[in-house]
Amino acid sequence: MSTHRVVITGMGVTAANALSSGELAQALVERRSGIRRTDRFGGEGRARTAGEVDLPGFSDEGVDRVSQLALHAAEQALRDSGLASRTGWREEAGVMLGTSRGPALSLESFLRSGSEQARRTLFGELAFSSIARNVAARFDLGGIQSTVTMACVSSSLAIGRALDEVRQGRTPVMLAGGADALTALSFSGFSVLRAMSPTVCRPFDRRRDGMVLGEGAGILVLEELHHALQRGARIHAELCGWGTAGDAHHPTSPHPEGRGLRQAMTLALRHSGMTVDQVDFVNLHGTGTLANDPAECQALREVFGARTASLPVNSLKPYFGHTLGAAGALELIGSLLGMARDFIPPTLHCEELDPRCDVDVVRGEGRSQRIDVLMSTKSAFGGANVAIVARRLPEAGREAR
Amino acid sequence: MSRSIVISGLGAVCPRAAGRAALWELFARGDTGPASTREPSVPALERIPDATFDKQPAQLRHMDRLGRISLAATTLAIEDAGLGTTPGDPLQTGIAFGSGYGCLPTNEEYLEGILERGARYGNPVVFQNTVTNAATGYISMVHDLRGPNATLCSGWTAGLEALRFGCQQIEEGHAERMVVGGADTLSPRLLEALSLQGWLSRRGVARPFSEASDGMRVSEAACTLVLEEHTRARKRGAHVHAEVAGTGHRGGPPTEQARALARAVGDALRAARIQPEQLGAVFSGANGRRDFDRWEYRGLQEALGAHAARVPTTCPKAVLGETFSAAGTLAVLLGALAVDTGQVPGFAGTTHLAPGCQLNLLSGAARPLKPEWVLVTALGGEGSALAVVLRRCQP
Repeated sequence: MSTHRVVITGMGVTAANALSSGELAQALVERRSGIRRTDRFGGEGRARTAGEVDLPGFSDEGVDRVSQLALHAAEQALRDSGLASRTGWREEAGVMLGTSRGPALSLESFLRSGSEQARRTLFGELAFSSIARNVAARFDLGGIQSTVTMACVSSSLAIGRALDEVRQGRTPVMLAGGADALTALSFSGFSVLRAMSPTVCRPFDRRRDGMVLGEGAGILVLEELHHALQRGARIHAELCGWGTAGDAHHPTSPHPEGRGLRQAMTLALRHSGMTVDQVDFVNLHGTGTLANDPAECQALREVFGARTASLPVNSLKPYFGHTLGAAGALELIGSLLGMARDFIPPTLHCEELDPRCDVDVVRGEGRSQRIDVLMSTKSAFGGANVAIVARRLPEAGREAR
Repeated sequence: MSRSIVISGLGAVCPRAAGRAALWELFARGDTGPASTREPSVPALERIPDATFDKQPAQLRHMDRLGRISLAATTLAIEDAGLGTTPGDPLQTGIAFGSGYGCLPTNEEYLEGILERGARYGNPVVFQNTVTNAATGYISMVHDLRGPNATLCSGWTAGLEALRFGCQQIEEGHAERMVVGGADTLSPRLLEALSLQGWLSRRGVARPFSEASDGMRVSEAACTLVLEEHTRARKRGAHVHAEVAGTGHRGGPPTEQARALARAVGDALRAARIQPEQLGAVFSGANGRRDFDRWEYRGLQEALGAHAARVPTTCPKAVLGETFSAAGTLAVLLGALAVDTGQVPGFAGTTHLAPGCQLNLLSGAARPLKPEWVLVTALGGEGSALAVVLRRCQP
């Protein structure tokens, strides 16, 4: 029933190591991480580092920090797409965003506040849906507003749903992605669960001891192919398909064989009309926790079979931290930026590969390689998994120019 | 819709009823329940029958309230669908839930704990529920649902958005069956915040579209529906309550919600390939908040034209109050039972319509109307609007 092709014409980034997609591309090529020491959350847990964002001169003080991160990324994405200066497209354009913690900082302020007036004002920011509302209001977007809250797959699922909206012809333009801010809620909770590393995030490494939190936002402009071509847009890639599936296993731990992820990858390939042989690279979740990394490597082996040995994979979390609900969007954007430069960014700090993660993890200097098709996968608390497939679109790119 | 998708299972947990039959009985009486003696009005959530949980004690221990009521409603829906405890091929059965405020009450509990005792003394059991999709995670574990998995938190329309997502997943061939629902719980602070907005009725009674309305009454609830392809449901001999003939989802600025609703209704009618005049009943999302009901009325009037004043209209929120994301799915549940039984429930409380409001409101007990087509509406309050058209299935 799907008849429309969907392309990515804009990308916006707010991350600890980059405040634009151009800066992120540069940071990935230079292997520059934005993780640094932080004492913002009392330093009571064992974690002392995080991927904190500096948003200099940001003026939206009336909205929660998570919305500020999203607004910054959305503004860039629209500018990058060339739509910001055009008219006639906003009425039908929708916003689909994912977040895990949402406006938890406003909730904290609400709980601390003794002023009735302050609490009345804060209420407008408390709901998770306030982020999409703020983005739609700022850019005068008249289409649907939707919010996904599925922990670390939130923005991936938001992108998948937005893809379906455009693909099924319901709207020609969607802003999709996600945002999450560093919060006391996350810092304390993951500390209590002993999921945070006291040093650095080392995905797939034998010595890995947890994740490092980050904050940020990644927003994509998704557009129906002909709509993009007609206006001569620059096309970053085609978004081909996606899949989601549940582990049905444990509230916080992944299924040890990654069965939900396996199904999500399988569905994404089917939705894309692709085979395993067509995929050139997989951006994994790679949190650096003991349980996650081997589980997703196992899922990879089961889906890609013999191809796994020569299928490069990476994790981008050591660059800007685990940004929770923003991770799917930010890491898809990072992967697309690499694709445009024939470059696979290395997994920082992965030095001694865990034998249980014995797949082709790109490390060291990174790898120069042409990528035509990539997959990005994310997994989350609650046993949720999402996989997204995107590909280079040379023919459309030529026409567009 | 490209494939015929039907509702084969209904389950709900509400303050004064648990399960399809109890809920229908409550609504068939048009019973709005006792007015609250305190302000703001919050009917206490009745205890969920232990029998609903006796098979899952281990999981239940760690679930928050959102997870508990969501699981209870889902278990009832799966039983109603005649699927036992596990609905068929786990890879072909997915879940999508919507929640207006999601894990906000649990986040509140966790944050209050660390604000009082310090960050290192956070409760790990509470923390694992500080993601809204913890509820869908538990449900998928208990019922072994390994297909598509989604949790939406788009405000008060999130339940119907989950229904729409479920339909899309079946249409795309990602699943044969989807368990979809909406649930919301309340906390003292959330209630306080709603009260500070001036949205709650001082009398504790919701009077949708009434000249005497003074706000909404709020309540917790969870409601789950089992969706599947018509032929597949028939093949397994399932009783089909109704067909989901069309859905519409629109957005826009909060100042233009009536327009968003009108467009969502228009989309749903087009998807169902019917004219407004063919609608036999409307299950409206009006809740007694004057601004909210005005948007609702204007939206219906714009979408249905003259038929808005003729089509029998009922307001489920007069009975259970505003249940946020659960409200839309509850209205679909009642709408499905209306086309299934040929009865449409009315409600008490609205004796004189607000000035300028011309609707054919049904008051009192259910009456035989035998609608073939039913419209369900939901407004988010912040710009989102959803509409669903249900159709009676031929035996």
